[in-house]
Amino acid sequence: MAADMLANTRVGFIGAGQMAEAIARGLDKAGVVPANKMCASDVNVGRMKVFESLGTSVCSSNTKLAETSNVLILAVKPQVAEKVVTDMKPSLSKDHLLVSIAAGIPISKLQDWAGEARIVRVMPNVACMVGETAAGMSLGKTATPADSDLVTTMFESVGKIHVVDEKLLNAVTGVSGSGPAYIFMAIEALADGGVAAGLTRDVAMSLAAQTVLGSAKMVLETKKHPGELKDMVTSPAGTTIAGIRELEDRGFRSALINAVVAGAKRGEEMSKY
Amino acid sequence: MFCHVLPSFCCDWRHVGSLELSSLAWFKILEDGNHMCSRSCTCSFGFLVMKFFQLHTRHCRSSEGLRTCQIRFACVAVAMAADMLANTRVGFIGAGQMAEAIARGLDKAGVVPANKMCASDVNVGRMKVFESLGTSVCSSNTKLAETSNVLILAVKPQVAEKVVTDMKPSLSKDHLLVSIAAGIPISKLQDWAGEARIVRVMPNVACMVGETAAGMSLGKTATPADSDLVTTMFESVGKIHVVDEKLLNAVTGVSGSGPAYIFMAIEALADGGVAAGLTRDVAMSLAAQTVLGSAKMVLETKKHPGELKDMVTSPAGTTIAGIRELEDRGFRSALINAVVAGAKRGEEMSKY
Repeated sequence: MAADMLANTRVGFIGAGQMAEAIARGLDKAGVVPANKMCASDVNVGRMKVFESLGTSVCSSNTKLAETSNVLILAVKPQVAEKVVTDMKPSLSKDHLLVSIAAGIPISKLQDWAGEARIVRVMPNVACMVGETAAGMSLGKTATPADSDLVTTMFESVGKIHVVDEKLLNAVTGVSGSGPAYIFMAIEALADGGVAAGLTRDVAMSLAAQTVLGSAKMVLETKKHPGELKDMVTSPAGTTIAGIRELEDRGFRSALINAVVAGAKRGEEMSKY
Repeated sequence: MFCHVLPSFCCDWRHVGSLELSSLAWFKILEDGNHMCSRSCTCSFGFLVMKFFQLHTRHCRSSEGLRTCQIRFACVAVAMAADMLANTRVGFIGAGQMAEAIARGLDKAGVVPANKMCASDVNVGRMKVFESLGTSVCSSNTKLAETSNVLILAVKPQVAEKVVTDMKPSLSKDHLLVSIAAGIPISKLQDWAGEARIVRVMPNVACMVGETAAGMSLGKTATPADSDLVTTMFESVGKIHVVDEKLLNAVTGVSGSGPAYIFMAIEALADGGVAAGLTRDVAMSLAAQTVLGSAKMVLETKKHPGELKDMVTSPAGTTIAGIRELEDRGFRSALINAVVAGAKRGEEMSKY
């Protein structure tokens, strides 16, 4: 069934920006959807050329895109999403699956704009671009379990994704949507610490970024609790516990918890406009 | 197939003048090396060829002779590196988790095959683990020194002195001793190891998942070839930088202790997600994956983290709201201070 579904999947990218490109590359590289079964449409001709160089087709209009694709990825900026989708409405039917990655646009609105199309809303994050997104997704009323599986498979070609109730997408945003910025700051701070301790900037920055990568990989691969992993690397009266004392003293963990909650709260506010 | 043929070519042909292959043929070999390397072939030579190719093209000034020059250098380099690696027999003094991680990495990356590795440990169970990887095992460190020319000191720091001192009679200047024992200075290692050449490495726990962040320093008699060899070895399990020994405490502050700080950060991100309504498993998975992806963004885009932060911070959006909280609470300052405190503690400990 899944093979049949994928075999019939023709993906159309509404908007051919960086996120769309990252997804297209991931799908093709992972063999989930080959480039020749993808098409893109964008007002920017340069972006269409980028897609052509990947081996996809390009379409001169979103209407044509809807005619040739059964899975449409809405990858335009949120501000133009309403117009773009509403203009496509006459070409959309219940045979279309519309996958929106536009931040902050609720399924109810997408459904209004898209008529009969089945809707799945995805909240990916910037690391899509390096094939390691952390994402959440929610299903519209008429989206099927097969749709859920298809979108899951698609986004697993560029990272990891979880199905959640739509009301939790703000919480997902708080963790994985905004989280990258917090980690960029953490990497910069680790590097600053290294420089303070005497390292050159380039060595400090390289060690910092690599340290963060390796640590995350430890959590993901060992599947141990981070607290247990922390214990594993904290030798008696050693360097690590000295650093941990500083972090606890300064409410490091609390700062992150509050940042996530503030981001989720802001997302909730924004969804009420 | 290519992998087995090249060593005998290179070991025989030290001198460029005796080359009988046309330059095209050599280019094909170099290209094949690249190609096989990119196909994750277990051939290390393609990897080294690429590396030396990059290093030595700078030495060729004339553009006319550039192509030939590149080939000559690459050939000689391949000959040297191939010779060096071909003769490398690695012995693990201590067969714990870090040693195992390094052994797996070396074998997987094709840098040193398992059958050119040996391990010795008081714990028989650990030696069995190594045997299952395809390495030999030795009943004593003395035997290990007899059969290996590169020795990885991977015992707990507390027992390092006794272990190395007991081996001293078996060590000579033909041995390269690579110590990963935390906090033990080269001067001490040199005392204990007699004539052996010393390299001190500060890896971190992520060695175990093939993504260590490490620093290394060279003893007085360690050679540039030793430096390259140890670099190549640790690049099979992550990334490594050569630094003056006095900076190893700073390295420890960032990459040695850093993982604990990131484990805490992942837990806190997950707690935040739970506070905002997610189940623990989803929150934790998103948190860890977010941290992984973010680090990968920094490493692959090579952009400044501040620039990346700007890229994801839309006006009056969720991210800038979170950033305000972090700045308000001195998030960055906490990390800077943690790194400095760790480095300072390392310095204190090195004085005992």
